[in-house]
Amino acid sequence: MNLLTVEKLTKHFGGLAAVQELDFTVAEGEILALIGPNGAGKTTVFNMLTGLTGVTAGEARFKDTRLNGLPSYQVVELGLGRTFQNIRLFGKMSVLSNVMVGFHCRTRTGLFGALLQTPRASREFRQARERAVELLAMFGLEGVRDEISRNLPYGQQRGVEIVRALATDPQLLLLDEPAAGLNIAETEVLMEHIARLRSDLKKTILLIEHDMKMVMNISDRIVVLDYGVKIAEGGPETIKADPRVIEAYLGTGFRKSHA
Amino acid sequence: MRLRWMVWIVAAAVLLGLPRMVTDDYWMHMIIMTGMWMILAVSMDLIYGYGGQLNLGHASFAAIGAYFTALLMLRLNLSYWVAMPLSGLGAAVISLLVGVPTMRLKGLYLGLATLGFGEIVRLTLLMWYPMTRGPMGLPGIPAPTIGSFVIESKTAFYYIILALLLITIYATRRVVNSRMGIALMAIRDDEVAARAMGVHSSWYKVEVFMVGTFFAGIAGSFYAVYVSFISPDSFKMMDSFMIFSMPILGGLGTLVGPLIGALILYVLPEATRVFAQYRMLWVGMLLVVTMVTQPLGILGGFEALAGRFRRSKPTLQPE
Amino acid sequence: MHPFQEFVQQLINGLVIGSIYSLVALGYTMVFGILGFINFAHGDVYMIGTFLGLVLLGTGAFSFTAALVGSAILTGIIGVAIEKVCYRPVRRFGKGFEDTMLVSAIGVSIFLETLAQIIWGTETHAMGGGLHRVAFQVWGLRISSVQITILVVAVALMAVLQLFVTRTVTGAAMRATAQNMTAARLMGISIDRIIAITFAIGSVMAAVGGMLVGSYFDAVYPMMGWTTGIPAFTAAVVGGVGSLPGAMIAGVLIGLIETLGSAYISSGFRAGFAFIVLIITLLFFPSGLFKAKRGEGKV
Repeated sequence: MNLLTVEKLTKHFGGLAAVQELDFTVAEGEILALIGPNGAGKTTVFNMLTGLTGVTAGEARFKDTRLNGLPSYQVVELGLGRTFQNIRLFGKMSVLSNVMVGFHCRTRTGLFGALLQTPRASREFRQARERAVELLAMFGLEGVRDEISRNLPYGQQRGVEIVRALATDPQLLLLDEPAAGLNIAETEVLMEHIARLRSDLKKTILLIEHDMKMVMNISDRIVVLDYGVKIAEGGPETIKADPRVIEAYLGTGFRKSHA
Repeated sequence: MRLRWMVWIVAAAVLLGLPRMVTDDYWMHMIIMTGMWMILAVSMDLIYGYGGQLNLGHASFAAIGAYFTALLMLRLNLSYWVAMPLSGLGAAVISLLVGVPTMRLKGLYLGLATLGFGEIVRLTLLMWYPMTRGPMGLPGIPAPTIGSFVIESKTAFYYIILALLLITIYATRRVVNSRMGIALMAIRDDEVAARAMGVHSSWYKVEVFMVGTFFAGIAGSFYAVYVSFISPDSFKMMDSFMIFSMPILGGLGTLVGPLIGALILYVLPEATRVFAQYRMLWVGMLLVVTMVTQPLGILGGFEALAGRFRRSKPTLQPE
Repeated sequence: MHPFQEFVQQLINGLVIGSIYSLVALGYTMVFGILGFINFAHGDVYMIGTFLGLVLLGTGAFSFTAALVGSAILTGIIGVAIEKVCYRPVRRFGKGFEDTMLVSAIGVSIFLETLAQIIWGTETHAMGGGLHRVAFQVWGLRISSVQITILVVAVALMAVLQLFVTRTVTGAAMRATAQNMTAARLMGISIDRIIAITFAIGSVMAAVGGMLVGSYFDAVYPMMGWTTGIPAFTAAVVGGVGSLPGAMIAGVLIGLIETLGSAYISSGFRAGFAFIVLIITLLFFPSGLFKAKRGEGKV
């Protein structure tokens, strides 16, 4: 089944066409990578899917629900989680609290539950915290759970962001350049984690990435954008050999390129 | 941990026994008023320190609470114990007039809008003569009664404000250490990311405003019966600025910071009474000097507090 | 007076007071454009400048013009000093300390107001030895020489500032700093110097405005900083933060609204009109009524 269907998705910023008539689908359980040179419109696609930017034309559907125009918090409730290219953690909050924000859409306690400290409220809060610790442990981050998130090293901040997105219990996880700024060792660990997200946690993943080694290694399929237009689609081997892709990148090949 | 218990017990004893220890009426008045300012400072910290919403018109909600109480008691003969919560609710409902239209405003622009609102409230109170008697204000607000017992002594008022302050602190703490608190802090740190994580930010911004202004209304309500006279000048723009400064001076986003800020900004100028005229001079200098040397406030704000008390449970972490 | 004449009379009054608001608004908007905060103490600097002029006049050794110039110079120095002591150290802490600067500005404001009250008391002083008043009758309207002076001086100063900002190297540096402080610094611009100049200019214009207003109403009092400051910073916001032409036009606009509102709706609500304009602007025109054009006169 296709979790995500994108049909003729278009975004204009004033006179500039950032994304033009994009078509692609993401099947349940697969890892699809969205690649392309800088400025190709990849993050704009994410922003349209998650309600951060409006859609000029075309449609995006998550299962059967139209995503166009939905506010971000509703998109999350449907089952799409995301991370950001420039890490957007809640800087003054602890790691644990950051992850707990992710549980927000899956819990219900309101103001009065908080004030009266109902048994339901306490239980919900405690369960959320326990689950947050579990998720952090899965990524080896439970040791830093009380650290203020903006004080963490970059690599760990990336990890926290992914855990936070996981806390929203998504079916489809949108990762925006998760390897950006990571060194080789960290990237290896990231690749393992992403693979486990699919195999153990049964998540479907849509990934924007510049690190070709990682993309070729973990993706099932790849969609290539250039200047907002899809120029190629297929498995890693096909894409590697595609002359239009090579031309668009002008020889980036397997070298890691930074955003 | 035993040390902690002892500290709490001593503090409780001091707070409960205070009226016995302080015989000077003037100082009791100081303490009572400090209690009121503390309620305003804590509720301000909830809105700004935790919610990230800049509110430069907080004093006007105290004014609204004061007028609600005065009018309910004078015109409808309601008991103070009924008028007070109604006043808090009144302030909270009126805060919707600010909170809802300004949902899209951030930072200083939100601050200016709240500043404008605060002044319009004051001018309305000043000019709505039939209701508020304008600049003449409302005198003769009756004292609270419990049955036939009339509350008049400073001691009695002290216990009332102490109770109100403790309730305010408790409620704020409950909100902060809850799902709502997490949502608020997320909105404060990065509203877009918060929405991307499923937080319905617009609703929470309105909600935190309502909760904070509810307590401001309660504080104003207390003021009305304590001083038994209010006028549009009882709560001015400069008061809003002072209230705003208190949590920043003491440490934003800590529960203790606003208390310290209120203590310093209110008690200090009074304590240096020798230089009666000069005390606001010192307040001005104090604000500048503190901001220039300790921009995160005396407690160093958020992070420093979390770091300092890491061994015992940090106040702000979910318990 | 014929109702239409009355209306034109009020228009003129509004124009005059509005031009003062424009002068003072420029100080707010320049600082807001570069530093990102509303310098609440600016109005009090305006007030102190006026009192200093009053003192100079009181010595009997200065003509009004000389006192005005003297006050402008002194106030410029004071403005720069305040920036150096109260705001620059906060700036050194990096980004994200706007509320700290705001509180510092509040502290400065309290300090200046209290100082003025201690030295000169809370009552209103007459300007004395002020501008020579001559009233003209034009088409049945009463226009005083003071009003004409205010308009001429205000317009002249604003024109000079506009030229300075658009035609000089320092002006370009100011605009650059407002647009992107980091890039400006990397280009070798001394940010500290630019900010000091900004404060100096703002304070000088505020002092001139204050002297003119003090003379116009023949009243100098410690709270006058807020009476003018509120419409002025409203004008800065309405005109679009950082936009000089915006502040100039908005100042006049608010002066007109305030005067007409005061005359025809309610004089008691005078102070409220500016706030209503402020709130309407914030809600419906978030970037100000006049979008600051890139590079053109924007500081």
